Amino acid sequence: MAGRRSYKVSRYNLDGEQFEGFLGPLGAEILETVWNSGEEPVTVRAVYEEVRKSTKIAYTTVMSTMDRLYEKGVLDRKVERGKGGVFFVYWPKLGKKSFEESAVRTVVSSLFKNFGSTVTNALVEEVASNKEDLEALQKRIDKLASSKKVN
Amino acid sequence: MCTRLLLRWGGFLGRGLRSLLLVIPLVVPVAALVVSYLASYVQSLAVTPSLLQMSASEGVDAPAAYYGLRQAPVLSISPSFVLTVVGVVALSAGAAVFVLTFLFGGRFAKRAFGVVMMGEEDYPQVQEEVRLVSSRLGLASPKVGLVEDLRPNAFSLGRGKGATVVFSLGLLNVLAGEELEAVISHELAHIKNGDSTFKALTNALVAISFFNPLSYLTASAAMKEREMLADERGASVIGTPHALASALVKVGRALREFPPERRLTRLAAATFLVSSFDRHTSIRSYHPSVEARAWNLLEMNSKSIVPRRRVAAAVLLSSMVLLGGVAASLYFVNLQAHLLQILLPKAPTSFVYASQPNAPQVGLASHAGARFSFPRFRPKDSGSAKELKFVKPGHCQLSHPASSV
Repeated sequence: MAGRRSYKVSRYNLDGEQFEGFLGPLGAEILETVWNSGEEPVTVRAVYEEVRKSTKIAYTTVMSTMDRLYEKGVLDRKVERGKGGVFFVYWPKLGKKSFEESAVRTVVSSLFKNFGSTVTNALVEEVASNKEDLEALQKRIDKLASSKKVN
Repeated sequence: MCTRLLLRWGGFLGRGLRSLLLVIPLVVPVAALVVSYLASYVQSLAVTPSLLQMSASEGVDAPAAYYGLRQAPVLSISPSFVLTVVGVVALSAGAAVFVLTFLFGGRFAKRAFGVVMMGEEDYPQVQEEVRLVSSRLGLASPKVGLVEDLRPNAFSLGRGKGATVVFSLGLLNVLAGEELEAVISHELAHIKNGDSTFKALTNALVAISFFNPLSYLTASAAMKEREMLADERGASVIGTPHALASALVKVGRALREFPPERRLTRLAAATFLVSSFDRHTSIRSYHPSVEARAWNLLEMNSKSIVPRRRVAAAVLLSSMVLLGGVAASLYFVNLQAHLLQILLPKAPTSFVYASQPNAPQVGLASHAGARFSFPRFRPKDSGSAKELKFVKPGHCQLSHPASSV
């Protein structure tokens, strides 16, 4: 169900690990749970049952967090009639890789837009600290340059 | 006049008493079975081994044992045997339904409807309100659960320490303030009234009276009375009947916006849940219509002291309802027996005990035509006879091997 859409980051927390920086610790954990649940849409209760295995948490907290993720465009939802009544089912709008690319690109684009060459220098210096990363970056630049010449 | 009297029946007698009056006739089949077993037991004690009771269930062994014969296979089935089997099956079904709903109903319903028990941080005001109303009702505060159903709904489960009140997200979104308090008091009144046990017993009795179409109607009428009783008790505790009436109307309107629930969900709700809102109210549903409940609540304050003459009329009418119900139950018990007799094959039936070379033989005629009378046969000369012979349907006599059947 995950489509090829983009995710627009509204804020980024430098202290968070991985997706926590974009979504907060609980948001990231819930999104991971939804990704891990497979193709089928999930209910809040199913996510709650999974999350409470590792963290003591209230049902309503999970419910409001999933509602917030839906508002942000990270999750999509619909009303489904099923066992025990009528309820919301959720699924991720983007796959894990797509979400990562989209979120990072948004942050980098924003940095470039505001700070330009400072960001380039910072990125190159960051990459240069690791020889393998530097070589990979060199190859990438060469490839992009050659494709520009052809064009 | 009669219709008016029937309609006013509610005003004169307590709803609890009326729900009992409606359910009592359903005990008739159980009583009939118990009495019939006791009667046959007493009969068997009173009679010497004279080969009484030739129903296939026990008649086969009695003569064989008495004459020291080996038992041959049973070739026929008598109506009394079938009645016994049907009775045992009905009783077993009733017992199974009771055990399922009374002992495991709560756990099963929690799983089936996805009930999540509320933690301290979940809807603290609702939990506080439950505690307050419980203390007013003199109840130990029950557990509070939540279902993520978007339709407004609330129900209660279990009894005693395991009692749980459950609210749907839809209900908590639609109602607040005194309307929500009214719904809470209604659910707690169900627990106070022991409606979970009442429903389990009623379901079991309906399962036993499966052949009686009236049993379904009286059971649903009784459950409707319990619903109204919970309305009245809940409203009187918080002193705001109009709040519950208003909540009911609101819930009724909101429910119309949702698609109907699945059949399986409806069946599970009707079996296990007390007080779950039913979108479809009918003569067979366990819920009265929202309109009827709202009117009943709004009329609560205007109910005045009833004159003695009317009370007498109500008592008379109640007696008539009770007797009518018992008579109907008895009629359907008899009808079931009669139908079984018609359906059973009428071909001559016999079973023979004779497998040893010089052993006497026993022949038994069909007693498929015998209605409620146990066929019996007695030896003419029980002292020296070696063989029993068929004389007429349902009877045998002793004779020599040469003339055996």
